[in-house]
Amino acid sequence: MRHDLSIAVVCSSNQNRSMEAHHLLSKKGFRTKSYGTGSCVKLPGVTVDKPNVYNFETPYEKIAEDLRNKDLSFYTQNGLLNMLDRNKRIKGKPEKFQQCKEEFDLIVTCQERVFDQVLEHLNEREQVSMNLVHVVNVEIKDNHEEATLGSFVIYELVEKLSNTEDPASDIDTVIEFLEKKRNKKFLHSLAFY
Amino acid sequence: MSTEDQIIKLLNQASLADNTGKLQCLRNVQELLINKDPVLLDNMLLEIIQFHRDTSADVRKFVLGFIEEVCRKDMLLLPKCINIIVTLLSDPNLQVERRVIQVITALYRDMLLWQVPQRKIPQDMTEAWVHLSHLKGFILEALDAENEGIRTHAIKFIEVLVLCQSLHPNPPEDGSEVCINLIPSDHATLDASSLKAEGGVAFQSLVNFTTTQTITPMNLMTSIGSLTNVAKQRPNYLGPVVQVFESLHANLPPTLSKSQVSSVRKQLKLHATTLFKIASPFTARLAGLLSDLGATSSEIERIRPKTTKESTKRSSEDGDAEKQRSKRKKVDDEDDEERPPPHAVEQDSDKLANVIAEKLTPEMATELVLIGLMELPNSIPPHFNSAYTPIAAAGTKAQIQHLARMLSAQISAQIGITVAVPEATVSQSEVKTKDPRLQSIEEEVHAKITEQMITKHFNLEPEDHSRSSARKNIKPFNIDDVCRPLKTEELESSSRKSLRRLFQAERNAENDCAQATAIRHKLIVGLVTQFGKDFRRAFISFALEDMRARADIIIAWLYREYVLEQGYVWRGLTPDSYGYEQCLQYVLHGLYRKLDPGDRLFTRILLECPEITEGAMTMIKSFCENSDWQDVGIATLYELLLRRSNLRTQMLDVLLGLTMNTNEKIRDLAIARCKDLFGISGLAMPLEDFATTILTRLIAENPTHACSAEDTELPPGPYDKDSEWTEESIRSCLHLFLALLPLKPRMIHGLAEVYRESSSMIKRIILRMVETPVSLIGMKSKEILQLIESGPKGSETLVTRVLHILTENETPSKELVTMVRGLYAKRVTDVRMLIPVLPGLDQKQLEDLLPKILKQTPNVVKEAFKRILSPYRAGGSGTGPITPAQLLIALHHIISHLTLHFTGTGPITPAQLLIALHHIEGKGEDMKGVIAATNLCFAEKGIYTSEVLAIVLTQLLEVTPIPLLYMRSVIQAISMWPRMISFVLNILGKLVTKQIWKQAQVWRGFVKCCAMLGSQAHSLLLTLPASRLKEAFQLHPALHNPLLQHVQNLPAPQKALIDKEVLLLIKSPPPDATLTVQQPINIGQPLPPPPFTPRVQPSTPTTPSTPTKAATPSTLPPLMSPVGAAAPILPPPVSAPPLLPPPGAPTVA
Repeated sequence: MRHDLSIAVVCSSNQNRSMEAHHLLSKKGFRTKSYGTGSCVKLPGVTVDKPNVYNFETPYEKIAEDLRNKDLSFYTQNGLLNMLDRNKRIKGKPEKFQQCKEEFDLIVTCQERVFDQVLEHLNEREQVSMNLVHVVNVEIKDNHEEATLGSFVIYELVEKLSNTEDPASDIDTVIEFLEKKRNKKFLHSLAFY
Repeated sequence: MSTEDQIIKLLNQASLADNTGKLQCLRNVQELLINKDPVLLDNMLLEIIQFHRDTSADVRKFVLGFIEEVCRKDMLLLPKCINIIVTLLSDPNLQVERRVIQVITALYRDMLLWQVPQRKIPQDMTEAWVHLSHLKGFILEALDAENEGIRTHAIKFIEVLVLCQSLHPNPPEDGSEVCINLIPSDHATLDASSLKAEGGVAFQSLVNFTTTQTITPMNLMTSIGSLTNVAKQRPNYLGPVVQVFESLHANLPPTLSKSQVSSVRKQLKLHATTLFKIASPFTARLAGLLSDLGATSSEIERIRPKTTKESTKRSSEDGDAEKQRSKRKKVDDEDDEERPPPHAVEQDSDKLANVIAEKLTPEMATELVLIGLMELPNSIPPHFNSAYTPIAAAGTKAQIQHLARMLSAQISAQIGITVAVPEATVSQSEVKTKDPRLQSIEEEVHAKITEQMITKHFNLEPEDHSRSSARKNIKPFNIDDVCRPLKTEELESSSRKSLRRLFQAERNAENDCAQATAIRHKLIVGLVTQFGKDFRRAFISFALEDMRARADIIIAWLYREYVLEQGYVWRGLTPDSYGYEQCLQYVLHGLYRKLDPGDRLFTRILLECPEITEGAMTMIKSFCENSDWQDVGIATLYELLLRRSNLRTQMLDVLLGLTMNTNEKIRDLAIARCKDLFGISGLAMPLEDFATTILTRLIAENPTHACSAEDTELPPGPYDKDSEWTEESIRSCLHLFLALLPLKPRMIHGLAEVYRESSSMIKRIILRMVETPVSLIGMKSKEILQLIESGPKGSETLVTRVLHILTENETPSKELVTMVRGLYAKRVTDVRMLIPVLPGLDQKQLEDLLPKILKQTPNVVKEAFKRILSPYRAGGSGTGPITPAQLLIALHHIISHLTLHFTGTGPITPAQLLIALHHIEGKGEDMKGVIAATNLCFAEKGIYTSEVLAIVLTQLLEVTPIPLLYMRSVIQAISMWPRMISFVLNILGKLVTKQIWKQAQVWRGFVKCCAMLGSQAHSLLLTLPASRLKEAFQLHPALHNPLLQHVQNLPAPQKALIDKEVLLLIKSPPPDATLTVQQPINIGQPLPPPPFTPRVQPSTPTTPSTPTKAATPSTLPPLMSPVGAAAPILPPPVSAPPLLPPPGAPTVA
């Protein structure tokens, strides 16, 4: 039996890594949401020192429009417009994790800093329902290729976990299995809503 | 549609829908009830919670969630739901079970919150609270549950419980939070102090759970979070929590994998940060911890809490732990009572840390590091890399303090006791300093060293809790100060107790090792023999409880007693008169009482004990004669005899005595042992002497004489006092001798001597009993042959008996035959002597002997024939000296004194024998014997088959004159083998040509035979000359009529062939019946009825009475009387039957 887990994928800007995984997981039929933990949405600019910065309320469409206006060929070439195009088909705009009120069974983060921020946020909330949430970090570099590869790791994790007998207890086994298989280390923690 | 209708509709839908649909409907109902129309809740509640019986776990979980929601809305509804919660707590589905714990967690807090302000609480609510409190116990136990998720939720429950049942520093006025402070002392249901105590216990159990080495990473992280929550909201617990964190940092469970270590450390850092943000006396320690967990100093500074005046001061004195402690103490003084139980632990750990800090001089640190280097593992432990952080503030007072605390945490964790660590001990051993650069390595290794050191000091020094006086109060130890002489009773009772403990240590000693058992035995035996009396009594009853298992210790004890008695060892101050003999007696009687009869332990103990006393000897004897124990008794006797040479004579006497026992079983056992012993050199002689001596008793007039005549040393027999020899007493003297005889055949001459001189009764018994041993010895033995050849005069009967026994089942050997023949020729002329060897003789010798044999009594003749014919019996060798045919022929010849010379050199065949027998005939005297002999032959139906008889009869036919017995044998043959009829007819025909009528006796037999054959002989009769036929008719008138009918029925051409004279004779009326005298036929026993029923023509059914009619038996009565019967008796003259046919009988036309 496949457990119907509610899943959140979190990265810094809710653009590339979390959206890639969100896309894949939704396609595979998991209840998925995606978030960013950064203070604002940052996308690479033409030069390294001048990133494009938006607040979390800006819809993907708006961002794409802005980038198209700035340098259509450059942003087409580096794949940002393509990515934004995919994102807007998934949801309207980026979401900030710290502002969400929903409860999840599993939160997957894509970077250790994000993992820390998620836990910090979860621990600062006042506990009400005492529902358990597992937080797992799958380290993914912030580029398109890594995001695609990483999304598969995340999918495998979710798939395995939802097929265990008792996801709340068996996550350690799943992580151990994946660590061996992928030769990677996954941080894992838990918190309560 | 009203809300109510809507709800009812949804509920109906829900009960019909599948799982997903059902959940959807129920969620809608929940929404309507709780948010839209809470008034309906009371009515609808039961409708919804009835779904708790649903098969789907999700629906059950929903019901639980619904209950939680409802009770939040209106706590008064709890009593209606509490039973459902109780039921679902034992739900088979783990997720439901977890959900229940979660719900209880929430409800427990809410219920407390609800109760606190209530002045009066309704009955049902009180009951619900009792239920909840009861469930609490279950959840606290769930900390040990098997499922990790359940343990996780149990941790959360404890967190809530501790939070609710502890003191709040600033109790909220609005009652939004539960804390002990808010519970009025006169509350109806809640007792503040017991709740607080419970909270303390729960906290401690959580702390203990967190610091176990087997905790899983998930539970560990949960616990860290929960502890943080508690510490954050209840500063009282901050100290212990920091303590736990420090200890965790130093001692993570060894089961964690590398990534789990990082995760846990991350969690630890996160929560330490949370705690660090609160202004508290522990800021410095937490800063140290954070730094160890990898936080940079800038990070720490950034999150350092804004300090109040007091805490500024405190931080300036940071590192001075003593002051810190006293400050906290001030706070403590204010609410001395409220300090939670873990405080004690924390305080001790603090003390320890202070002591360590004092002693951490650079030299000591260097030393520690050097020792530590020896213990370094070969590879870096997985968590070292992630745990290692460069020391930022190395060498500062604060850092030394921090290190000291870490060490103390290590010590506490490793040893598991903190309170009991005496300060003096530590201060002497733990003189430490620190070297910042090596600190990380030191962390890895110091645990082991400190543990070793502390354990060492624990062992050396007495515990002393008053730390200040520890050093000053040490007095030189004086044993007199602490000792006093014990009273006698005390001494005795404690010594008894220690003995009992030694007894009880049996199993332990066995499990331990063989050495322990040996030491224990030594101890017990030493104590028992030295102190005697009570100890001995206790030991004996202990030993007898389980003699089999305790045989070793029993033997050890016997040896000890023996050694003491012999004076090899000093007996001690209080020798008691308890001798070895008595001890052995105790043991043996115990064996007899406690063991099953026939237990071999008896033998073992007697074999191993140092000496067999007289009492023991008596015991063995009595055992030998006890029917249950005789096996063991005699076996013991035998073993002792073999293994204790000093007791050999004594034991042998006992054993020999038993060979004459009246009980057959005992006697047999003893004799069997004697036979075993006979093979042992040195024992054979005494045994033989004894057996011979006993045998020679038989020469004496009676048993009493016999005994008084010989040496008295021999063990007395059971019949010594009898004044007459009885069969029993005679036998008792023979058993042993005869048992030994096959082992040493030479002894048989002694037997012959005794036989010669003893009375006839004894002779008879010897003859009877000698069978088994003689057949065991066999005929090859020289001694036997010697006995036969030169047996003493008077022992001939014994020799004959021996011969018979030897040849019973075997063909006699040549030597034996020669020897016996020699003997027959030289000394004994009795032909009976030769009978056993008859099969060993050749044909000639046998035929010569036949007449002599036949003169013997029928029994002897029978025996002789049995032996002669024995090779031809079924299963026999088939090659005897004489074949059955030869034998029979010989018998026939005897009568004529003719000696047949058989050309062949082969042994005599049965046929030859019979022939010889026929030849023996003649003299009237011998006749009877020969007839009996032929009868013997015919009785051997298996040997004298029709073929053999045919040979015999054909051979004898060639002899002129025909032997007297010839016709008799023919009749015998045909009555035995009816199918020989054609053969016989043939013979009869030949006899006619030989003019048989010239030998009157044989002629009579011929006629009789023809009469027997009836119609079959008719044609033969017709070949007789008329005068002879007339004679035959005169001899046997019954022949006439059937013959007449036969002739009448013959076809004319055949009739024409018949001699006219004969025809005339037949047709002439039969001679007058009175004229025909039934002549006795002088050939053996006559046959009263004819052997064969004459075949009366069917045309003569009316013949009223023919002799045949009178002959009722259709079968032939035995021709022979048994061998032993008297000589053939002539039949009484039979009154002539009416031979004439009745007037109306048909006549020849």
